Amino acid sequence: MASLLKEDQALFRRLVEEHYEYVFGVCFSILVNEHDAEDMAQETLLKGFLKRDDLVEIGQFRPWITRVARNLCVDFLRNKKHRKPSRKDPEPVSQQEMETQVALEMAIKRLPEDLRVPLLLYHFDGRNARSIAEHLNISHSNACQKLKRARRRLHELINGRSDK
Amino acid sequence: MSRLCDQFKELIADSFGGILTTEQSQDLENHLTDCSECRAYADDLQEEDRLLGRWIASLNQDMAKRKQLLLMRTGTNGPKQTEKNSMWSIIMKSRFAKISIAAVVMGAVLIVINPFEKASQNVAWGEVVENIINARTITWKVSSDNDLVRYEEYMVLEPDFMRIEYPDGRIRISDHHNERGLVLDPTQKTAILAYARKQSVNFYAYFQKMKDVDYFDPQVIVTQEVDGIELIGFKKTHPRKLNYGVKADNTPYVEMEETVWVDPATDRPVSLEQLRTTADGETGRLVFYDIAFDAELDAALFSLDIPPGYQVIENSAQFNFQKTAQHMNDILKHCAIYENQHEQWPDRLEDLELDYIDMSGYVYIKPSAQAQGGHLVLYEAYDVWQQGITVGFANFRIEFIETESEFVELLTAQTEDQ
Repeated sequence: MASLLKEDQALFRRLVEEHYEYVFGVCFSILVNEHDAEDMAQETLLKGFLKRDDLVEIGQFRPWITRVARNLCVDFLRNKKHRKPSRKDPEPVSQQEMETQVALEMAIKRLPEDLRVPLLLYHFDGRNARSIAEHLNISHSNACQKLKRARRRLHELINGRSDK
Repeated sequence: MSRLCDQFKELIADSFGGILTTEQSQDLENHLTDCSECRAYADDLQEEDRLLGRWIASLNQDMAKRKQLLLMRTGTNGPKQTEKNSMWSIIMKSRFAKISIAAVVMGAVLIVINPFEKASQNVAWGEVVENIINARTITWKVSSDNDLVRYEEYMVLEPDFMRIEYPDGRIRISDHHNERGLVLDPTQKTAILAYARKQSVNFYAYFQKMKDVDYFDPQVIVTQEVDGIELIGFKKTHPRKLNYGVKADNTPYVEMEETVWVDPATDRPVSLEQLRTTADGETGRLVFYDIAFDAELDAALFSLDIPPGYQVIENSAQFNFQKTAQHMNDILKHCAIYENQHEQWPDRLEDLELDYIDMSGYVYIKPSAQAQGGHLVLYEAYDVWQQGITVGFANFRIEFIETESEFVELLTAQTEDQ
């Protein structure tokens, strides 16, 4: 990551190559909309690139860019009135699966952000709780707790038990 | 549900993160063998986990394309950094290796590869767009196996002027900003004042669209050798729609695949092929060739002044009809696109969001689902009948009706049918 501090356009390419998936994952976890996540991932990487001098500790890049992404996404949600529908939904193979998929998507949207982000990032980031903990700047045990709570809450929401 | 089950449900949720000790895993396994409720709970969580994983995987599929778009938009689509590449990607960076492998696999002249690898190695579409985006002039020629093409040579002076030279010597000059045109016939020495539509939807507009990386985001890269030069083709299959023109017999083309061929020496397009297909699978190929950007063109070529010695043929009724017919044609075409998307005609013309046409001068009648193609859907509003009005039908036919009685008869007959 040391090269992030050099002023070179090739760095931006490298930034995109190395971190785009992660940043998109963060944005999608907050927005739960593919179009909007794409727009915000772009904003985040550009802003991160331009403001890279604000990054004091090189090893803290992911937690730092996560905060940049989150702030941009929160501003976006505050300001945007009409959101485009997500263009890519999974392709269910049966009616029952379609219903489950719809229920899953609705439940994901209703999960509190502090549970939804670790859960979705866990799936985006190759199911690695330890790296999620590092990126979100929380302890490993905290990340595991959040993942567990997210799973249980998701199951309740899918099954219509939102009172807990 | 027992407290024991509660504890095991915690473990079940934990198990998806792989954080159980061997002992916990064994305890859980034993419990699941005996407890159907916890087993059902574990199955549910597993299914939810699977669906969530599949959803995220489907989002991950387009990651390369999204990255490429971002790099294009920021003009950062130069050669990739190589220091972190694996051996396989280094091997695949060699054009020779790539072509050899492709040749073995496909045994064909055409080589189809991942667009983003190829684009990063040679030319990216973003670079091509970058190279032509500020072009002030464009010239090209057209050939086709479609008998509707009559045009031979085009010249464009950005952003509004176009000159077409026909095989019979006639010349058409259009000012698309002021909606004025001129057709010159050098053999007859006549100049006809003509209408030029405000927002051209012909090839001129097409070349303008080509500069828009969002409109033309190529999906596949192909190569072909022409006169010893390996051209790179950016290919896109457009979504199925009704607006890809019509065949000579009025059958609409519903699909279009187009390829922009780029000379890697200049990173600029040299030709463009459109392969259009009707719903019945009939095809029509249109080729734009000898495309050149920024050729030296005299501004006088686009002058709408009448050359000396030419007789002006001015027919205001004809001019107005052309203008109205063109607007109606555009409205009906957008209605067809709307119908294609919404499975019904729009309730109001305003729903089409066609901001360059003043639609207050037209009366629109939404056709019912059962209406036939001959259904009258559009006519010019009038207070007092003058020379006549232009009317449009659901099958895109445009007519000029001279007498009010004929028009009233048409309208009445249609109302009675409904």
